[in-house]
Amino acid sequence: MILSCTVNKKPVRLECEPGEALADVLRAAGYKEVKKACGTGNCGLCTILLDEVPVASCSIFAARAEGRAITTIQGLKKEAEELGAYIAAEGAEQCGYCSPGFVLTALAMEREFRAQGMGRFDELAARHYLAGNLCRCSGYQGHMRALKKYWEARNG
Amino acid sequence: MNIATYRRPSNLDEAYDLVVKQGAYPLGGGAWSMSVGRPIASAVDLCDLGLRYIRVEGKNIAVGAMATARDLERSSLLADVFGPLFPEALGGIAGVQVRNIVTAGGSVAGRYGFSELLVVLLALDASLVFYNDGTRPLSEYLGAPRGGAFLLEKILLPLDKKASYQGLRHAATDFPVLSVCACRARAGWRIAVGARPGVAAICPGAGASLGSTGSPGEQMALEAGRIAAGELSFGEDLRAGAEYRRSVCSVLVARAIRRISYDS
Amino acid sequence: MDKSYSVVHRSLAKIDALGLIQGKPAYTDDLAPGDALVVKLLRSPYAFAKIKSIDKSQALAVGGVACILDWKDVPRIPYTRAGQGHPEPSPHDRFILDNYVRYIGDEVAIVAAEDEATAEKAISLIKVEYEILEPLLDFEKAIDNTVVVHPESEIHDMFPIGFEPGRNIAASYKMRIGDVEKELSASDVVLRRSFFTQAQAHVAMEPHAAFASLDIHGRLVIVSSTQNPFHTRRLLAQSLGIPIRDLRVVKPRIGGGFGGKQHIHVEPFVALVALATKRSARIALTRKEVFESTFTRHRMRIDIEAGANRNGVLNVMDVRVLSDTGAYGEHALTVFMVAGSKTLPLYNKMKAVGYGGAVVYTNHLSAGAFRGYGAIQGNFALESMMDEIAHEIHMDPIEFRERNMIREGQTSEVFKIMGEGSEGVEMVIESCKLDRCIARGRELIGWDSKRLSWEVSPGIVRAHGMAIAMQGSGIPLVDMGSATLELQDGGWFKLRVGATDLGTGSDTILAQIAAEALGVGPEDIKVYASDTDHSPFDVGAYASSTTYVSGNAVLKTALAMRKVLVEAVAEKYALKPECVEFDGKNFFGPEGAMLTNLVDLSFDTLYHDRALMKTLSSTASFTGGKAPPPYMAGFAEIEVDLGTGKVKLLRYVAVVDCGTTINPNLARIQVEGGLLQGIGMALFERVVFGDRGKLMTNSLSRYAIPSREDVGEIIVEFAESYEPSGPYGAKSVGEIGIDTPPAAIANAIYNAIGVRLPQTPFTPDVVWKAILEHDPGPTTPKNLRPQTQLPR
Ligand SMILES: Cc1cc2nc3c(=O)[nH]c(=O)nc-3n(C[C@H](O)[C@H](O)[C@H](O)COP(=O)(O)OP(=O)(O)OC[C@H]3O[C@@H](n4cnc5c(N)ncnc54)[C@H](O)[C@@H]3O)c2cc1C
Ligand code: FES
Ligand code: FES
Repeated sequence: MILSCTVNKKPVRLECEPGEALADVLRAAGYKEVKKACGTGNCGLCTILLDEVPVASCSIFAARAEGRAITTIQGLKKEAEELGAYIAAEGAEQCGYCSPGFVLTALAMEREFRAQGMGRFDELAARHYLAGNLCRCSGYQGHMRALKKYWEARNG
Repeated sequence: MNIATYRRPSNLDEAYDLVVKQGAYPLGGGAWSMSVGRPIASAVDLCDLGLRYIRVEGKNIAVGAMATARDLERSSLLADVFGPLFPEALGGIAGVQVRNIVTAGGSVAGRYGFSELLVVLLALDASLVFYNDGTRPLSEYLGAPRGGAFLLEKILLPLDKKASYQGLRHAATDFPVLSVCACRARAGWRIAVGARPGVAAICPGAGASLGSTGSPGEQMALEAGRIAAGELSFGEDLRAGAEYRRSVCSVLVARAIRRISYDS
Repeated sequence: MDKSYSVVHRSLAKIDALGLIQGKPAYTDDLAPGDALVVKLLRSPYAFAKIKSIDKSQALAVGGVACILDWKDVPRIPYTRAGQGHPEPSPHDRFILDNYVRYIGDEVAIVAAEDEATAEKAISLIKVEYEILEPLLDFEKAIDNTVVVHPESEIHDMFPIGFEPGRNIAASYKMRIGDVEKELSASDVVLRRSFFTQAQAHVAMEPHAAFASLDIHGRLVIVSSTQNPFHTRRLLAQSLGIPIRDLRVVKPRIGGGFGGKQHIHVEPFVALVALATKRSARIALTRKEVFESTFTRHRMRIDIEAGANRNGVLNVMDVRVLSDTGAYGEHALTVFMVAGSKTLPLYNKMKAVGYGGAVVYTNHLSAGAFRGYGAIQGNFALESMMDEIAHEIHMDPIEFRERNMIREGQTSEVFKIMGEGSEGVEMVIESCKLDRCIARGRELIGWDSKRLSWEVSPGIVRAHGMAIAMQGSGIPLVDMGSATLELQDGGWFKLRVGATDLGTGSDTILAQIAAEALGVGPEDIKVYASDTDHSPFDVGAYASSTTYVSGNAVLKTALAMRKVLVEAVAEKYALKPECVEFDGKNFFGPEGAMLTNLVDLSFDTLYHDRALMKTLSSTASFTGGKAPPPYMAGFAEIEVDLGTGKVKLLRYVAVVDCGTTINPNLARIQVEGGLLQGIGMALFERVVFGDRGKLMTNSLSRYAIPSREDVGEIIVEFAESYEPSGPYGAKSVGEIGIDTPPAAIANAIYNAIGVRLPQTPFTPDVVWKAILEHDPGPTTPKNLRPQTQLPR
């Protein structure tokens, strides 16, 4: 089938099989920023935003994206760069393979937390929100330090 | 997952026709179907049927089959009625990126042993509304053998009950080793246990032992736990053995009961 | 010791950080050409079988299938996949494809097609007739079993490692220092215990991937997610039977390695397809394949007999190890050796030490290199044992350790006797702040000898436990690293290294070392790494070698470069080199007279000054004469739910002596990441095999690694020392973090429930069982009776 949707605000038509994982379709179409590590929904590396909501693109079939808006990390360049600067300054990322999915989920989290009116950064809530974003290198501590500083700089 | 033909009907009659009359495969979130990976000859995507809602309908809360786990978790309506029950029960299902996909309908229709949602729904004595096929209590549905095709439209939850959830996992995002929900209503208690690893089941004896008391004491809670552990069957899987589950069952049932007693 | 650094010892951001965070295509599979053939592997469904016939005809008839290769189509040359120096200490005990399959997941045939679906279809159409053989699945029964995993005659070792395939022994070893029996009988207390560790999976987030193509000269170019491009080039050439000169191996960014990519796993398959079809070929393993068919940590059974006196003197340890290498013997001997050589020197005052055992073949997937590399297994046994002895003689576990542990200026006989593949090297420890690590750690965790466990509410017990550890810094006299610096127009430098950044940030710290030595800014060093055609030789990233070995090579190269620059200026101004000073920007002559600057020099030497024109460059290499160990103390605070057996890790304190931290942030993240993997091994990562040898825990749904919700606070501090032989005083930090959690957590669990858990992982059911079976004696911290004292 031809999947019509937008990727990072650009209308695209992607050749695919309806049951293919959206992650595979996006990678094949050149969106290499969508990583894949487990293929079973456990690691969060393949996270994209589908109509602004984070979903595991390995666990959603391509046809489901018909007519909808996909955002990859490349579609949130500015925000990713801002949060990315904190992550880099903290030395929080190692191999970086998990970073695009992590940053995208963290940005979605920021929006949700703000909408809920969170004031001080709630680390436990953040750990819970991001629990599905696995990282085997970093031990997570640096991620959390970076997020706290980022949050405080922007919402403090 | 290989899907030979894919359709996305926009009304329930059409979907019903495809699923129930023609035997096509309904897709809820599709996450589980993807991970199982079996080829599907004819798939019917339920996403355009307007089944994604959580709302009050008469004396019930109606949860549309396409409501996602995260919808349930974040619903202020459910929070008002049940407190932290849903976030506590469902918050451990993988990460938000999966909970944003998986649906209430898929979890119920799949009858998964690991399903926390089924444990909660069973304890709450929820009913299932099948499109064109009437309404049945969840307990009856789970008790009957898997049968012919159906289209689950929504789930009805009572408004007048309190329930609390207790579960155990290895890692936070792993599947549960055991899950328990204790529900207190005017008529009495209902206690459900899932991930045995078999599908959620009611512990009638444990519920009955509590009678209609609102705040059972320590000894009653412990006793109910012991009864529950004795009246259910448990098995082994990758995560734990039967004896362990039985023992944890008594502990978690007691904790769940105590939790509502204290909360009220 | 000059500590006024300007570039090293500073937390610069990783040079590739922002690009990776934004998801720029940088990893192997991101870079594979779109028109490459997709390579998939047909794998064995049986743990042990002989292939009687393979019928490829139906599969070959599928449109879009480019080639299918089986064991008859590939060179039959015994080789090893272990990325190690030459000659490899691992036996050459496998072929690219063989007519025997030795574990579920072993490769049977290579299929290349235009796309993945076609390749998969072809795989399903290959008909293989197997003669199913009885598998050998119990490693404790492997030696002299009637089942022989490797009956073939061509396989061999490269030098004596105790290789006896007829007895299912891949390697064996034995050593003794002093009179073990005498010391045991002279000790007040003698304990004998057995410990078991599991075949932990690496779970690097990027699955193994490679692609191959032929360049215009017909040379084979392999791009691969490898930790050791040069070893890969050599092993691959040998296994394919082609000259090393006809191969080039390039490593792009890697999505984690942890030892899992210190092997060749997929490279031979794409290489063969590229050679056979003259087209590009790519492969990326699925997570299931990574679990089932790449390597794991060596499963071990470690028996220790130890003797001590009641006054706290540890006299003797006799350690016997049985290690399961699975179907093939990659890293069999060396991992086994490290289980002793990087643990026993911690207690260097013992009068006698015995160490020995065997590494055996079974029909499970192979074991290989994995961060910690035997030391974590050994540490779990040794440090559990230390607590047991301390308990037995009624001494605080810390005090017992402090009385017996190694200190700065001391040595251990073990260093000399035990190396990795053969003998070790003598080494006096010039930097060791283990005492400070312990002192600071006990302060941070709030250690109180009289109260190692306490009840916070009925049935909920908290406890402390600790362990100490050491590692190495490269393999002395074996590991070698090199670097080349070259001045470029505009006054910046190209730094070419063979070192392999696996995500550790080593490219960044090597640039920091070069910049510091040259006196230039880090932005003036551009790193190009890990391309066998363009990088100078380096063994690769393993054995905690990069900072120490490659770092020293870079330091030597940069100091040589300074000399080259000064000499060029001296020549230009007809001065003696001693009279020229360089401050990183400008060159000064006698009396501080300004001569020229780096930018002008670069243009002069490359374009302007006919007399001077040349490329200013330097190259140097480094091989360690020793491997100064980093040290650490790890402290766990746990909470045990006596009702469910669930252990929660509330806090982990790690105080590490890794010499100077070249980049403190990156050093810290190395430790934090290592800790988490150790914590995973201790608490979560359960490996289950089915009766017929199938790995049941073969996906991330079934094999849970810790998420960020599973750990509480992790506190890492450094007790910095200065290692005179290291670059700017640095030692290694890549592995040390992983070693302590299994023992520290086991010790904490003991303190909580009074039961010693001898086997990882300590999942709730295991702890629950221990609580149930425990007969609370008078020495337990509290009389715990889970049935009567039901927790809330
Ligand atoms: C990584 C991961 C971890 C998970 N962990 C947990 C966990 O810890 N606990 C837990 O409870 N669950 C867990 N799940 C499962 C999840 O909660 C859902 O139960 C599961 O994914 C099914 O939901 P779905 O929407 O994906 O179903 P689908 O795959 O869409 O459907 C499942 C089945 O139900 C049928 N079906 C779907 N909707 C209807 C309908 N309206 N009418 C009739 N039939 C229907 C489908 O035909 C199919 O047979 C996990 C899932 C993943 C991917
Ligand atoms: S690849 Fe999608 S969640 Fe792991
Ligand atoms: S940085 Fe490597 S997986 Fe997260």
